[in-house]
Amino acid sequence: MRLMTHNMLSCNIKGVTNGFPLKIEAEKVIEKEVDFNPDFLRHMFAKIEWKDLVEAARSLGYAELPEDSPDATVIESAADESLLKKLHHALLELHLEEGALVCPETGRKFPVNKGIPNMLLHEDEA
Amino acid sequence: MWFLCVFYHRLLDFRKPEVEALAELFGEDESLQWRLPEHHHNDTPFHFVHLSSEEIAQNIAKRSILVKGMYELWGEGTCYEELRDSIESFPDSRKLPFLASDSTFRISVETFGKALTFDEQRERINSLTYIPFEGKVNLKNADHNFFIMEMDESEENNGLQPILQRRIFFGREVGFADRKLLPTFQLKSRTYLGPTAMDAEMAFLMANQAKAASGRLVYDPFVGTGSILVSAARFGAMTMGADIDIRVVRDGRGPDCNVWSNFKQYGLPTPVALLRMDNNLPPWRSGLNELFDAIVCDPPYGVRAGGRKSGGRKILRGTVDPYTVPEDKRTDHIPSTGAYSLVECVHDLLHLAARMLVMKGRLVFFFPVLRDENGSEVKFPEHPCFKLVAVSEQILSSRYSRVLLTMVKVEPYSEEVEEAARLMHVEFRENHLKWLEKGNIHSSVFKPSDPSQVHTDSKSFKDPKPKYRGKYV
Repeated sequence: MRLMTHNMLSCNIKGVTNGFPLKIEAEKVIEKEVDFNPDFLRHMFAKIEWKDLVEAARSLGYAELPEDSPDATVIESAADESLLKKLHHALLELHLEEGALVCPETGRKFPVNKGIPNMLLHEDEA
Repeated sequence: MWFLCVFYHRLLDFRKPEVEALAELFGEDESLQWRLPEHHHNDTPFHFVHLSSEEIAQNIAKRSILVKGMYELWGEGTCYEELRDSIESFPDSRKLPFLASDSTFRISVETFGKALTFDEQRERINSLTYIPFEGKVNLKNADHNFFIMEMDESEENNGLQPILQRRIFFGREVGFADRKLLPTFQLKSRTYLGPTAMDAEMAFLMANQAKAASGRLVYDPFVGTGSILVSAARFGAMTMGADIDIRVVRDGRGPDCNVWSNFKQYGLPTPVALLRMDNNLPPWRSGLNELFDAIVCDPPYGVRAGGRKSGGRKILRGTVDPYTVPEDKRTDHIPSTGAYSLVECVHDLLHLAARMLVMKGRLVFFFPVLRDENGSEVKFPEHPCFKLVAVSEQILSSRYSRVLLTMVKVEPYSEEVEEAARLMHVEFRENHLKWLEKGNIHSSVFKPSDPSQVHTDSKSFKDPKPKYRGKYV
């Protein structure tokens, strides 16, 4: 599971109001190379919660992202790609293969196996 | 500029919408103008289409699946004398650049509804001596390819639409579909298949309807084996998929036979994300919206494969209260799922699309319809955020068809939309059984036919589509 996916998910158990972000319990993390696509990254930049991405990357062992969200103009400009490359690495190249996503409010664990998060709710949670 | 667009004579309803979607993808702002040749019926392979430039025509043809060829028309007529007059009146400024001495050319003869001998073809090519071709002939790889297309008047008997009068076209080829994609991607050689995997041709058509392209994100909420996403990936899009069945998404049939291997097989980038989730209770964080450029899917119709959503059968009917699974059994517990009616499934899909599509993003999905003898008006799903731009029918059996619906998001997701969806969601939960019955086509498809009906109706049964309806399959 990539951090791009993690940035989209929240706990949707009935009654939970603070289900995002899910804390990452990492058991197996791998890095897989992905083709660099700046247009796609720019589109995604507008949609992600930056602080949560930085935090999640750190929990997977990557601390190169700046704490504060960069200005949109910096991302849009074609000049300096180093920041975009860091975003690319954090968003798409880090994989949580085995582990769990933990709801910050209830502590419920959503398992991640073979890179696939299981977000299905149990019978009493829907 | 007007171009002659000659289609492959199959999947008739899908042909023009494909060209229209690709025109939009390649930069046409206005909706396309179409014209029929004289005496031709709408199901003909021959259509005139107006496009802004040859470049756009070429791009559309190359990316399409059903365009046999796109031609700049140099002349037409009912006989070769008329054709000559027509070609001679076509401006020289448009002809000469392609007749230059330093270029190569080839002239081919194509006939529709009949066959010509080699000598007959030679005769027709030789009749074009009035066109000042200066270049050399190259039959294998010419710079410019010219076509004489001839069809005679015919009755409705050979799988083609009837033509009232002989017609001949002469044109310069501008582009054509790359049908080699089909044998390469055919399901026969796909590593991991499921019972409802989308066939390659249809998957490419769906990807074209969705305007899948590099830098765009395409999502399939019923991903299964990923057959639709493979085609979107082939056209350069980033893909993402979800399914409620964890065995399909996570395990497949083994480490080399799963959704990922389906992409690796063709050297395509694997999906950005695959998730196991329930579309009825999606785990997207609040505030997340306008993420996907397109949502393309084939939801379960409930005929050969039924949809599932969270909640066991008994819980959904209210026979049993939601139960808590004991702590020690929780880890490997597979939550029960219950029937997910088509109506609710499509409602959830439209709501998801309304929220998660970018403005002008496309929702492309199949919807089953019963083939009624009475030809009664079918009502397609609607949503205030969407405009329906294409409806293409594919006949599946004598009882039912599926239609590919293409919708474009034209209104932003608002609180009213969210509230209406929430109320509908509650309505579905509280009246589970009632909604399971509505729009259930499984029984209509599989009910035994009434023997008495068969005899009386076979003579009076008026098929709404003409005799060559086989071409709609």
